Amino acid sequence: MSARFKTGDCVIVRTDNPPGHVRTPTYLRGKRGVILRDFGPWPNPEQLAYGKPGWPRRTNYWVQFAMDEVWGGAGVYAEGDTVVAEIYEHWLEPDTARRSES
Amino acid sequence: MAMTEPTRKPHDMGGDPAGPVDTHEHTPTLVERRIDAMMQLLRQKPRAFWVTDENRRTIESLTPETYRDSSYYQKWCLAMRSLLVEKGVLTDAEIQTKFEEVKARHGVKVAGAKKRKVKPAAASGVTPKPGARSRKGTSP
Repeated sequence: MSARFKTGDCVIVRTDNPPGHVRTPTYLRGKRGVILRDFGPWPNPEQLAYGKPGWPRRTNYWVQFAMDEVWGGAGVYAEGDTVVAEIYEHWLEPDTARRSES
Repeated sequence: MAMTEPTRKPHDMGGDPAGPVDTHEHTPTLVERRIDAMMQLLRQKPRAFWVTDENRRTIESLTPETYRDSSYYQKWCLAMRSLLVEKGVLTDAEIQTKFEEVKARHGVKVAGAKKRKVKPAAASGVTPKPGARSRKGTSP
């Protein structure tokens, strides 16, 4: 399986709100980030959580978000601070409005 | 805003108001080590009753009140109990019967009461020497 995104790609986290076990925190849904690292394909934890084998495998990424993007100026953080989260590919969409930062 | 998502579960707390985080190192107590050991025994081969994602799913399904009021290892205990029944390893009735048996053995009448005195060695989390507790036939 070829990875859907590459390092530096701009992505948007899906705003889905499915029931059950998910690994994407609510505070990041709908936020714009950049692929920082590709960890390769892994059994899907959202299937493993129900005793299933986790196929098809999903690529797991480190995605970096600007704090301003996540919190919109609310909260205490320094300029340039970022959040990095592990997010599986099926939670990401390409951010066509932005150019790749690679 | 994220905080108002109606189906957000208790563990999904990123962005909630919170006090300072206690970053001190924590030495596991004897009870915590036992819970940890039990979890490893149930999850590793040859038993391998469940995987970590099932454990997470179960903990996330605790009520917000239970999630808030339970320690890390208490959550593990609740998850173990739930998953053992879910996987058909034990029935809820068998667990209840065992609880009553153990309580009676220690003279405990009220649920959750702590009558048993803990020795200093146990309280400090010192592991007994191997062989010191070699009992047979106690596995479930």
